[in-house]
Amino acid sequence: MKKLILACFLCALVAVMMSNRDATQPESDLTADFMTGNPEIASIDQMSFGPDGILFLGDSKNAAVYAVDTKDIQSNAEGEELRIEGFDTKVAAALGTTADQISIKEMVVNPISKKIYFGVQTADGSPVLLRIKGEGFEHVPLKEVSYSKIDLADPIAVDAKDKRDRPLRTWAISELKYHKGKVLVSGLSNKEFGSTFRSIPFPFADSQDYASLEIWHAAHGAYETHAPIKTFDIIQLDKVDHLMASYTCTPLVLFPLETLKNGEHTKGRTVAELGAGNSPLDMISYEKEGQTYFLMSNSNRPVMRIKYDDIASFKETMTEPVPVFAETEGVPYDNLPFPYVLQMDKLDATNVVYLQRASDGDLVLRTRTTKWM
Amino acid sequence: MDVGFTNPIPKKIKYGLVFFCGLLCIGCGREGVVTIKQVDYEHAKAVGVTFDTAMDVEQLRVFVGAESQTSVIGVIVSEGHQHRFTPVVPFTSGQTYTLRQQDTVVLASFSIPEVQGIPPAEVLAIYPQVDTVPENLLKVYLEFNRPMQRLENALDHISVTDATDGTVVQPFLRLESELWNAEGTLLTLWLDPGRIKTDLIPNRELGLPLESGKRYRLEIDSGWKSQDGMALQQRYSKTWVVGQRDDQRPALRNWTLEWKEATGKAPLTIDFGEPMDAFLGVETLRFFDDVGRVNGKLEFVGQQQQQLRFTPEREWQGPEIKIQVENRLEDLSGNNLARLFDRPIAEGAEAEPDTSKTQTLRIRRKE
Repeated sequence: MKKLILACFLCALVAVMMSNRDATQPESDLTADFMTGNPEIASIDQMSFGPDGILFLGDSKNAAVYAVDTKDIQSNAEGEELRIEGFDTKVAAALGTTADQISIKEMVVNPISKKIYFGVQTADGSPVLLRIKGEGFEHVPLKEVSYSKIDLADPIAVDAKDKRDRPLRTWAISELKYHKGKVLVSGLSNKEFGSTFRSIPFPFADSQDYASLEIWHAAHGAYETHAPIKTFDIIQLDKVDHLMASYTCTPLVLFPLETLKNGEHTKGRTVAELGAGNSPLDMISYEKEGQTYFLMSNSNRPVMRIKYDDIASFKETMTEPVPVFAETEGVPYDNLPFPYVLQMDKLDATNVVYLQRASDGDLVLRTRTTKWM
Repeated sequence: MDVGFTNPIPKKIKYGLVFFCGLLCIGCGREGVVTIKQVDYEHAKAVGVTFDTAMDVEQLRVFVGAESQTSVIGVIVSEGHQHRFTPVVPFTSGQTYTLRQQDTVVLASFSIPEVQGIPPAEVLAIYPQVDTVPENLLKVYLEFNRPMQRLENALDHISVTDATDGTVVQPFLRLESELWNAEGTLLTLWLDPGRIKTDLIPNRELGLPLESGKRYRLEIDSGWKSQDGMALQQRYSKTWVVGQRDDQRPALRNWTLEWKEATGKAPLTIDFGEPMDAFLGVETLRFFDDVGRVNGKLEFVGQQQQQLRFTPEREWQGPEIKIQVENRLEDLSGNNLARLFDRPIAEGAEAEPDTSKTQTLRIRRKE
């Protein structure tokens, strides 16, 4: 009986302790291990927002991913309607210089506040983070911020413990997105031509999965590992999350995310061949009238629109080479009348924002309702 | 309302010195008067401007030149009537700025002198440094004396001409994410792999990026600037004659080792029998003797990228040297010790050969 009373007492004690803990600590405190200071970010090549206003920045120069707490968490249902002409000239002027002295590397929308952020490279190599404020710009300082950081591990370093031997590998981060507690990063390196894809749990710990991906490149008529992923998104098919990756010249390939495990070599399923001689730039998704669509901007083609249902219903793998150069096969797509879209993101539930080079050379930032897309 | 305006002619004063442009005032009282005191420098960069005024600085904005309607983002720190404006990024050399009230009325201006005394940027080397390359050459490296600007695509500064008939060709793969080293001094360019790989569609439609028997001239224009704003000293160029296709993997059995003295700190020379990748060559080899790992200096001899010389930091111990070579060591065509770069891959082919593995070469001292 005493044992029973003691057990009940202990259970009650544990229950009280747990309820106290729940009351004082959020279940998941994503910024608990953040530090405050200067992360010394050297370049802003790719960006993606995670939860709670946390902005992930891919820094090719430092071969690292940073998570920065922007504290930009005031919720807005809608973004502002915008049309800013001479955009690069205005960004440059806000930075005290001329358009030839800057390069707009990346644009991303905070899904909570709907504010639009830009990563800008200046002539002296300094990266700058700006966001739109009304018709103007606001600087988002990166020198005294709450942040955490993870270095991109070298997947094939030999004797990596010996710093003296570590190869001077150069990384270029081609895409970065946050998805369900993980930062997904694609990139390429300068020493061996090949695709690398990383899945990094967030909050950052010591672990990161590196996967070697193989695709059937229909235009090439062969399995082809030697191609860098240019952009990607996540698509759920049959309740399974898939990486939908777009490659240089331009297969669209699906990989179940759960198969992308450390060190494993995974073959993807090519569902579309969107034409050789082109390089994809950005990929986003949106919903309209109960349908999900993907938009992809390209270096040498207009923005392409692909229906989710067409991807979901395409069950086979493309196994035959595309017979005619620049001809497309597989999942159908529509060309939207928006060429030279350099940056693109979803602004809110019914609008996208994009940065487009007009035919007269002017760089225009504009929003557009998905109703017309 | 009190209004001020400036003398629009800036004075250029030698770099690094306090700089004052000028001020004129019309109207009455001190309210509209802004006096530029100095441009502030840190590490040779114009990081701020100090000015005096009795005005409410909340009404003041800094602009690029006289026309821009977008004010420069920055912070003003005040101490009495003296204020310092610090922009987000340093002011641009050679640029004139205006201080305006209510975004329109120009109260003062200042100019940043052109940077002087910095030597021009230079291309230190264009790799491969050899004169004859295989027709399936995979990579070209450009090495600069200091960090280069990365505002435009590098290929906008590079042209390649078929010297045989004078036509401009585009052999390189254009990447939005360029492959620079962390210092910004070494750029890797890929010749389009889709065109190198036999029977891939780009290969069938466009052919090889470089054709055997032809000469190609790569030129780097002098408009390319370093991060400190200095243009290249000159146009740089490199001409290659294109030879036969290299469809052989580098093999240790074809290498020649030379260890003449075989004592003390005698250097060891490895002749690969063919030119190798200039950077992978020195990254993928490690040397061991009876005591263990031997560190030292590893460098190519001459410009042929064919012979590597290793000079140990300490004396060799024991009769034998082991040389560990990573499989990822490549020749100029991207063929490494484990696989050819261009090879047929059948459906269902197995994974890539493991390039993280190593092979070992041994050389013994003659008794």
